[in-house]
Amino acid sequence: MNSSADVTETREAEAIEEAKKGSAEAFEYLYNKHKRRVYSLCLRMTGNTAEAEDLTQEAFIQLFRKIGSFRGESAFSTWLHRLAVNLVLMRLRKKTLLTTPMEEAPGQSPGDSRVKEYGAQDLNLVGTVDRVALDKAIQALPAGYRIIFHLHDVEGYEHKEIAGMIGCSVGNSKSQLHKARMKLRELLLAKAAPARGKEL
Amino acid sequence: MNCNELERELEELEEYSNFSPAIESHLRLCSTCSELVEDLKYIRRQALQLSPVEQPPEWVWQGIRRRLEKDGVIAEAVGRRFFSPSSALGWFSRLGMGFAYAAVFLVALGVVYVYSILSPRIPDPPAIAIAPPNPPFAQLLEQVPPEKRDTYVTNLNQVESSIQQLNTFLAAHPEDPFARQALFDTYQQKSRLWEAMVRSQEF
Repeated sequence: MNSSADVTETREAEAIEEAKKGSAEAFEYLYNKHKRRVYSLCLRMTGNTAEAEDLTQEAFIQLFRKIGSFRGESAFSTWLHRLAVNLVLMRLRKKTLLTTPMEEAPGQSPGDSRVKEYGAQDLNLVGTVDRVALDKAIQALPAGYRIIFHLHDVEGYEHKEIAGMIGCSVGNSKSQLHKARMKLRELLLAKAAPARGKEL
Repeated sequence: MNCNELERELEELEEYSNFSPAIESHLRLCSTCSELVEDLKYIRRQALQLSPVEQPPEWVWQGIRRRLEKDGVIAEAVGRRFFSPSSALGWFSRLGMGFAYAAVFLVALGVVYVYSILSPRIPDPPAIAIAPPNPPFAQLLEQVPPEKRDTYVTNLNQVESSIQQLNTFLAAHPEDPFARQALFDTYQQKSRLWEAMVRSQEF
C-alpha cells in the first residue's frame, strides 16, 4: 500500500501542470520538494558551498524554463537530477577539473594501493565509521574520484551512463571508482587509527 | 591468485558479492585481502545510505523567482493561489509578514478604542484632509491632554513599528501585493491617529 506516496505523486503532477501555466506557488512547491537533493548533489560533487548554491539556482531556473516540454516519460526527479549532474559536470569541465579526468593520486599505482602502512589489527573499518565521517572523507577526495564515486555509489548511475556523461570509457570509470573507494578507505582508516591507539 | 591479481579483479566488480572460486579461495587464505573486501563492502553500504542533508539558503529561491519573473516564466496573476501553503518552510518565510498583519490589526483596534473614548464628547468633525506627509506628531502629542497621551504614544509606536516592518519586508519581497496593501492600510491608520489627536485638543 503506497497511498501516501500516491498522494504525493498526484500533488507533484498537479504542481507540474500548474507550473506549466506559470503558477509561482507551483514552482515554489516543486523547488521545496527537490531542493535538498539537488543541493546535496551539487555540494558533494563540487565540494564548494558557493558553487553548489549557484549551481542549484541555475539547475532550477533551467528546469522551470523547460518545464513546458516535460511530458512525463521519466520521473520528474530523474529529469531534474540529470539536469543538475550535467550542469555540475559542465562547470567542472570549465574549471579543467575533468580534462585529465582520471588523475592518479601521486605515488599510487595498481597493486600499491592496498594499505601497506597499517598493521593487520587496524585494517577493519566496519562499525567505526559513521556517515558524517564518510561525507567528510568524500569531500577530501580528488575531484575526479569524488565525482565518479558520487555518481555511482551515492546517486546510483551505471558505468555506461557515467562514461557517457564524463567522456571516458567504461573501463576507465570502473578503474577510477575502485581507486576512489581505496582512497576513501585510506582516509577513513587514518581517521580511525588515532582513536584505536587510545583504546590500546 | 595473489593479492595484486585479486585487486585487479576487484576493479571490475561493482558489488562485492558472487565472487569467483579463485577469489573466494584467496580470501579464505589472506586476511589482509579479506579485511580489504569487508571494508570496501562497508563503504559501499554506507554510501548507498547517504541521504541529502544539506539545504540551500533562502536567497537561492529568491534569485530563482526573480529570474523567472524577469523572463516572464512566472505568470503575473496574483490571484492564482493553487496551493494553500502546505509547505511549512513556505510559511516560515512569511512569518514576518504574519506578525506585521497582526500588528496592523492591533493598531486598528487601538484606534477604534480611541475613537470610542472621544466620540461622545466631540461633535462631528469637519472633513479633514489626509494628514501631511510628515505630520509633527511630537509637537501634537505635547498638546494632547496628559491623561490621553500614553494611549496615543502606544498606538503611534505600534503604527510606526508596523510601517517599518512592512517596508523592510517589501524591500525583500517587492512583488508581494498583500504587503503593499497592508502598508497602505497602516499609513491610513496613522492618518486616522493624527485626526484623533487633532480632535482631542481643546482649542
